[in-house]
Amino acid sequence: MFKSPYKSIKAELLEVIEETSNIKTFVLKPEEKFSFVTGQFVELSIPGVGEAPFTPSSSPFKTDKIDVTIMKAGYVTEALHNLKGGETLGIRGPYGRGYPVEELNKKDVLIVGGGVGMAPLRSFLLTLLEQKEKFGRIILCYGSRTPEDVVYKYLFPEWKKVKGLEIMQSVDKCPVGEWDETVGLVTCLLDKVKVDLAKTVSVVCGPPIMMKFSTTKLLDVGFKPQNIYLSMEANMSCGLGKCGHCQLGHHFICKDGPVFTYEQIKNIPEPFA
Amino acid sequence: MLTYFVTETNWLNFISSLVSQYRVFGLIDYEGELKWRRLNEANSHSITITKYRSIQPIKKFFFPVKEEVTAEPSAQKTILIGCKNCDLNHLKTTDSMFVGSPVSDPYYLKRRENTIIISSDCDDFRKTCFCTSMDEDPFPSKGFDINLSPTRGGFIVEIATKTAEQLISVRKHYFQDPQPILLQEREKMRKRITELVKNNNSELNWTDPQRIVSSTYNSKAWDDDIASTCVECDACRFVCGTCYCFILSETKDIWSRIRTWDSCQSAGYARVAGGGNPKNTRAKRLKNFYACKLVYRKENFGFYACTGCGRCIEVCQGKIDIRQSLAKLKKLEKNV
Ligand SMILES: Cc1cc2nc3c(=O)[nH]c(=O)nc-3n(C[C@H](O)[C@H](O)[C@H](O)COP(=O)(O)OP(=O)(O)OC[C@H]3O[C@@H](n4cnc5c(N)ncnc54)[C@H](O)[C@@H]3O)c2cc1C
Ligand code: SF4
Ligand code: SF4
Ligand code: FES
Repeated sequence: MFKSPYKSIKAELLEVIEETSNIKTFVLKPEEKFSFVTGQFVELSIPGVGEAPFTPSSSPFKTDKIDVTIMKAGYVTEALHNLKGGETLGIRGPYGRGYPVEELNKKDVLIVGGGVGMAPLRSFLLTLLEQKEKFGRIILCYGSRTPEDVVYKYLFPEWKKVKGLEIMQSVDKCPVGEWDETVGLVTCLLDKVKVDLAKTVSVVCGPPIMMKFSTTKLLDVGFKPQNIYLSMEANMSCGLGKCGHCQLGHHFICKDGPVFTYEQIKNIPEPFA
Repeated sequence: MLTYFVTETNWLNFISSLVSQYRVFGLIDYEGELKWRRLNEANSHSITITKYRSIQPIKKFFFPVKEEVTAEPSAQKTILIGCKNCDLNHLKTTDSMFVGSPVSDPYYLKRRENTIIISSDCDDFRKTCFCTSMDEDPFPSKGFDINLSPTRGGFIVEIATKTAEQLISVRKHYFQDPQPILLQEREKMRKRITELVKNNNSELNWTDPQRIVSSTYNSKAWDDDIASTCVECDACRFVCGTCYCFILSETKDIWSRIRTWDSCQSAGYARVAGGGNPKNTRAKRLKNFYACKLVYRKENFGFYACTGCGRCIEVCQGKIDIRQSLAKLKKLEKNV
């Protein structure tokens, strides 16, 4: 039977988990088997309303359900936030190239996240933890605006117990006494963490401004551009390298990315614009 | 390649014999403006074969302005008569975008497979034509099923594909073997039109537009001069045969989806949630158009996505002429 690449399949919205005042996790059950590589993205739609790209935040090893963590940012995301669970959504994908997990074999991995950028990184982290013996140190540096804005608050205590996983967190601002970790931008954490540059790669995801400053900091610290992996964001429509919207220089973020090394994009004028 | 001669009358009779079986489109001359029209018994004898390109790009036959992209693709057998070399060159870009990696666009592909392209040499040009500056010829050498070259009393007909052979073979009585002298005359005609187009652009001194656009990318001239008269009407993008951008949208019929042509010259094209916009000025957008055609697609595919058809020059409300822009930028190259 003919199946258009632009057509979504149905996915039941099983549950909506409130993460912060403007971020929710949507647990979806697609009507057909839907596998993805961590870091790949999907186009999620409310039928008749609109569609937008999101990266699954669940582990790709979990195949019966897919979690997508979404910040309320505009038309489609607001409509998604109004859903209660039980509705039928549309999903197509997965698209693009995800994180190069195979290439990280035996490496130390420094994960740098900001805000809702923790969504794809959770999927990535869960993928690493699933096969922890393959990697060296796993370090997570995660920055949020305030303690309230931390996503997956309920998971951090668990993660902090995992051997071989080091976690550092920061918040931009906070009333005295409500936060016992670093106060400051996520880049402060990068000043504190000591890594062996010869065997460490960093994986960064967050708002454009955070990606820009984190990249600058990582380069300062001595990371080579090819060892900095970035999840690039852009306006997207098709997800299939056809509609043109996501172009970044000669790259199409949707099919050549969304994960790029800084090496691949450093010569493009204003890559984080 | 099989080559024939056909008289003008026989050619028109040949076309008449096709209109009942195929959707046939040809060019009708409206005071010098050639427009694509569906042909029927009545109008098929008044078409223009040669001259120059239409202002309407042929992409619309494969990639309509608006279409549903969730239903099963269907396409009627179609014949286009009078495509020019710049049109065929446009298809190199749209083919590269729509066919293949990571998946082919089934709608474009289906129409492409069901369309027979009959092209012709140009024997005239428009003031905006500059294909020769883009290292292209004003006559086709590939990318067609059938090509026609005007000659004394008719056309030299080149048959490039099996589909074309079949089309001709059942109507063989219209065609005859070409006299060698006619082929020699064709070469002369081709040289002549090439010279005419070159002379039309004789004041242009640029070559290597890829280098010019890359090396002046950060120049203030884009804001101060090149893009300053753009009124953001998008006309240049819609007439460009290599522009493939589209936007998907939901429909009332909730499990279907439509796509519509989009333009990188409109302010919202690259806008992201939260108000960020990497292409937030006219200069950035025009720069993107030039870089897309002259730098990025060249890097991707090895050829320019600008074929020098000049359509964007002709429709621009702001009198922006890509040839002149490149000339201006070339002057700045040393000063950047
Ligand atoms: C690969 C990728 C992965 C992502 N993953 C996640 C994720 O895991 N979690 C998450 O929260 N976010 C993610 N995002 C961001 C998310 O896609 C956006 O937040 C979402 O698209 C916003 O949609 P919206 O309709 O709510 O926002 P809006 O701001 O309403 O709309 C944004 C889109 O609508 C169009 N638009 C709206 N208004 C206009 C206008 N006036 N003129 C022109 N165009 C307009 C724009 O084209 C824009 O693309 C990801 C983005 C990408 C590219
Ligand atoms: S950019 Fe202008 S001249 Fe070049 S192919 Fe497009 S319409 Fe023709
Ligand atoms: S046709 Fe001219 S005015 Fe209109 S968008 Fe293109 S450059 Fe701007
Ligand atoms: S989103 Fe359409 S080309 Fe990338």
